[in-house]
Amino acid sequence: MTTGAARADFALSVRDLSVRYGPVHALADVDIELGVGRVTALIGMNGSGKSSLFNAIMGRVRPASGEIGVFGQSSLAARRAGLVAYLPQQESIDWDFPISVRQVVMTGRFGMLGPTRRPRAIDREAVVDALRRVGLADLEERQIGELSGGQRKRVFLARSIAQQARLLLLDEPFAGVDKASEASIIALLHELRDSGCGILISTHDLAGVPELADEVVLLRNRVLFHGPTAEALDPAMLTRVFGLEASA
Amino acid sequence: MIEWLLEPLQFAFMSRAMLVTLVAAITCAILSCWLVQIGWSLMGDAVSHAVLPGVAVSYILGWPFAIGAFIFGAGAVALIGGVRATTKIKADAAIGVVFTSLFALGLVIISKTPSQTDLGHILFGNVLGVSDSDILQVVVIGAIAVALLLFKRRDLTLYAFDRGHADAIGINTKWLSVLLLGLLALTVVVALQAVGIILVVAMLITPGATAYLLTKRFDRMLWLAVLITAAASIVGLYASYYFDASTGGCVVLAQGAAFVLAYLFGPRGGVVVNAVRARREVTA
Repeated sequence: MTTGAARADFALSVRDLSVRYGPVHALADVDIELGVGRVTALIGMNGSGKSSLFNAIMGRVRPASGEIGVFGQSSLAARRAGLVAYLPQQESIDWDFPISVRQVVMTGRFGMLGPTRRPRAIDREAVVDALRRVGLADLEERQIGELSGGQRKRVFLARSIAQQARLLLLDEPFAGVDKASEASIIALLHELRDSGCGILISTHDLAGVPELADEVVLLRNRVLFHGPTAEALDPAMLTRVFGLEASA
Repeated sequence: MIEWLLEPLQFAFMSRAMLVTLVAAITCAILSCWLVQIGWSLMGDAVSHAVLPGVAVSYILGWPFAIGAFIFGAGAVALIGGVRATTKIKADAAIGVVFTSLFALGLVIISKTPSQTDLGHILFGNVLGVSDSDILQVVVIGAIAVALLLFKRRDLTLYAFDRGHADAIGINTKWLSVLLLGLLALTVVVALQAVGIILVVAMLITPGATAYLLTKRFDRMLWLAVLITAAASIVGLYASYYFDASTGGCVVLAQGAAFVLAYLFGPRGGVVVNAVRARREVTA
């Protein structure tokens, strides 16, 4: 069902979203609209509600109020349709898990498969194509822990490609990644953007944002600014929004 | 040699024990692969102890033991989840409080009940004396648990590896955790017939942990866990027959021995293999 707030021409539209954990207001009255074909950086300090926003989009927390639409559908319908991909933080993954690169990318196809998730020939091809596109075709049999930091990120990007997701949520994707890999990941993200994905990236790394993002959301439990990257990163703006952190 | 192998099986009680132990051990081994990867080993410990009052009540009321055990096993899971959701107590403390309390309740019920219930049999297993109805329960429940685990194995592995992705593609992860915990309760019910409440947790952890040392693929881990646990069960049963020792104890000890072998010689983390490799690299 299409919710009243959600418009199909937005990759993500968040209306009046509030998330509370007991007395703590993680997010209050958040409104965000992300255009199709845009990369948006989500910037905020620890505890500013970045994870809560991701969790709300993925249905992991129940919002106290508000609506979330993805490409004009409710977030659950969009997730079931495979439109949403989430690229986890480095430290939330068990890198010793007995699973291969290929098997991780195959999990991107699970939403299209039957109850046992038995892959078909078309799924195997999609996985091979996705791995080729991110430059990991040679490493598909590796256990995922046997990859470098940048390669690990590209595995999850390959998964979102195999999934044909159109809204990508990336949680601190450049932590533990060297500069060369970061550049190749950004190039891939821009390719995906140009093919019509909406991309939301939470990051601490202000220096990398101009290269990465078309627009910026500054978050401190509410949206303090949403607009062009250059304006957001203006020192006066950052000082106003974050106080001391910006001068660091 | 053949005679040595066949002799125990001529006794009906030994072949029945073999059947019950193999069904229980294989069911546990498959489940253990997910438990050790998710980090739910302690839940296995908790559920297995928490079923004691259920088993006692079943004996008193003349129910099939599986019904009472499952009610209390599932109830323990719900209680632990409830305590964690409504307080700030850490997971291990919540688990510890719930399962020890339920275990104690079972001890009190048994001590106050003038019945034929033998506490020792419940705690340490009585696989040499299982009744026909016990065998039927073990085989039926074990088959259901194994079938469900294998049917949902790819989803369960995704759940263990990256729950965030499962949520992102709209898979109901709450339902998967309920399924896994429900199957844990069922599996405990099966396994306590074979080795008793105290040692069930060994069957729920050791095979998965052993197989993990031997491979980098989850599907191979499942096969290895089953093969290892089947071999250990057979070795354990023969040892118990010829040494006239505790059956459950021998089976679990054989599983422990398999773990030690994998620990020392396994290709993935074996300490001996790593030492040899390190020496070769130094000399190369």
